[in-house]
Amino acid sequence: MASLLPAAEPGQVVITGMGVTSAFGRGTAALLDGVLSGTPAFVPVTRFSAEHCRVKVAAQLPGTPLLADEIAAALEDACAEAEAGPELRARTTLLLALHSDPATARDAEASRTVGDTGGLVAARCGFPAAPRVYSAACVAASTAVADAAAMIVSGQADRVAVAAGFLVDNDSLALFDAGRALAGDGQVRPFSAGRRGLLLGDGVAAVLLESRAAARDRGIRPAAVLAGWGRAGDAYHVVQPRPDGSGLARAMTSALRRAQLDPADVGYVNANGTGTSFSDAAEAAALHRGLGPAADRVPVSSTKSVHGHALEASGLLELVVAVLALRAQRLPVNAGYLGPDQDCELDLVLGTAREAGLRYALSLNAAFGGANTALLVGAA
Amino acid sequence: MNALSVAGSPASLAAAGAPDGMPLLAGASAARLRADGGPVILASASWPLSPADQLPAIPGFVTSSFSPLAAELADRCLQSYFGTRPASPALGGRTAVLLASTSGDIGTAAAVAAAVDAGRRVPPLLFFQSNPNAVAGYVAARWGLAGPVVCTMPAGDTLADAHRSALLLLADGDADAVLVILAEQVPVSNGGDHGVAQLIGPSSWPPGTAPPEPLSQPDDVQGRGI
Repeated sequence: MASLLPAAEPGQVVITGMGVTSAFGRGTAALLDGVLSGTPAFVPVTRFSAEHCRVKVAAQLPGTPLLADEIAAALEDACAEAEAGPELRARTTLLLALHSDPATARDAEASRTVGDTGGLVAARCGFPAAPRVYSAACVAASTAVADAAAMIVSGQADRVAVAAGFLVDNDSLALFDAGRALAGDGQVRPFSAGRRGLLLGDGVAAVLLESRAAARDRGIRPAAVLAGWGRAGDAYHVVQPRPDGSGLARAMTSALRRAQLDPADVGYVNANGTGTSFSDAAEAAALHRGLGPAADRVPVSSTKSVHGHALEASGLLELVVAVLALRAQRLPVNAGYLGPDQDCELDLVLGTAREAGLRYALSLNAAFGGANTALLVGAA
Repeated sequence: MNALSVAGSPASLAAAGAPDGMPLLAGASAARLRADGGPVILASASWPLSPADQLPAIPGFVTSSFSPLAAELADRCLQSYFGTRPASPALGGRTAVLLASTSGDIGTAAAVAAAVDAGRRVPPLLFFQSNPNAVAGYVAARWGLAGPVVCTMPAGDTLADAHRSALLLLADGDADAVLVILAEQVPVSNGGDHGVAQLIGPSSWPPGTAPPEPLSQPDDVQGRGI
């Protein structure tokens, strides 16, 4: 097997700035309060008519925010925390993960692309044009983070900005409703008996990743370390996860190997946990396969239970949640729980947020096509 | 940019250079790739080969030609290297799938938009095929490719950016080879659907039915040309 990067320098990639917007509002404080409260943000959809859908709720910001505006605001917040001014931004690669643009779908000439939004954001925030948009569904943003880390470790860049966004729209709600993927009872219940599916949620996030040396040279104290990352495929099905969780487990193992850590070092897992029957069971199997006996003890929650599924942005939104949990030393709640499911035997954070002496947190994501990612963050 | 370069030549790789001149790969990763003889194009395929070329339908995918195009490109490329499917676990287990498309699946997106705008229910099958990951997963399952699954929408030269992404995946170490699929769905008036696929991997892999092409000069892997 090929060697993983980095082979000898764990902790080389650090997070120096974060910005986020969710249905809980703008900023990291609002998101942390929301995920610690365990109170779901799902409300009736009013941004557009959901009359034709069976499920008419989602976690949404009020009004009709514009995606480019929200991503730009999150990037500005991340850059402010990282003290990244115009000169630094002008020589920093920006990677974007975005959901498909409803306006593009209505452009008969196919002259617009999702990348246009990326170009708009990059220009507004002073970054060079983004080389690509990551579109790999629910692992799009986490894949962009892994690529950013690989760019830094391989010496291609000193720092990379990653931004991602999804705002609930009519097309997405209609699609997920048609696929009967949405929870008809209006609650997301990850790993719980009686879970009935996912609910969509607004999510916009941005982070600045840097080499530790580059951050030190600028005199910037990191917010966290991106200790490890891993990705693997299931080679199993068009849309269903491999039931034994072996693909996601390989992604976890890869992340731990890069970080040179043992499963017992992981103090919290922010799970993919969509609230979908077979997906949650496969993820529980993956946790036991990937972490071994440590899976019996590690606290797990899926914060999709409160902020909803942000699709292409979920990997970055949830990475920010993991970093916030590290900073606060408090573990977010796995909301919506009704009772145990024998296929999901995990130490779930139930009821109220849990105090923890936390050094490392693992953020997991899985997507259509059997795509799996694991991001491992540690205290700076 | 909807135009897609169909050349998999070393010259096209030179265009994949980082705009600021930063090395693509350096240090241990570049050394590992160089020690292996460097990544090469093990096999390649394109579509259409002639105006009469037809895309086979694939089960569960409807309305749009995007997924059949991606799947056919993958099949043609992988057949020329592996012969029959699936790939051997030793090789397929370490092969990633990278689907890059500037246009994305215009057909599915337009069908969803039309249903929504007309107040009709969206056909359920469109949910499953609405993201490019679905057909990437179809290819991965069909051929036993268990490396990372990545989908991108490059902003510039699609092939050059896909090569950058593929080389980064190889350097990162979660895959030993990458099946790169470039699929563009454009109106017939603009040339119609088209694409290429390339299997990029180490020169030490066993030869397929197609001779490998050099992906780049060693110095390019180190960074200056790519």
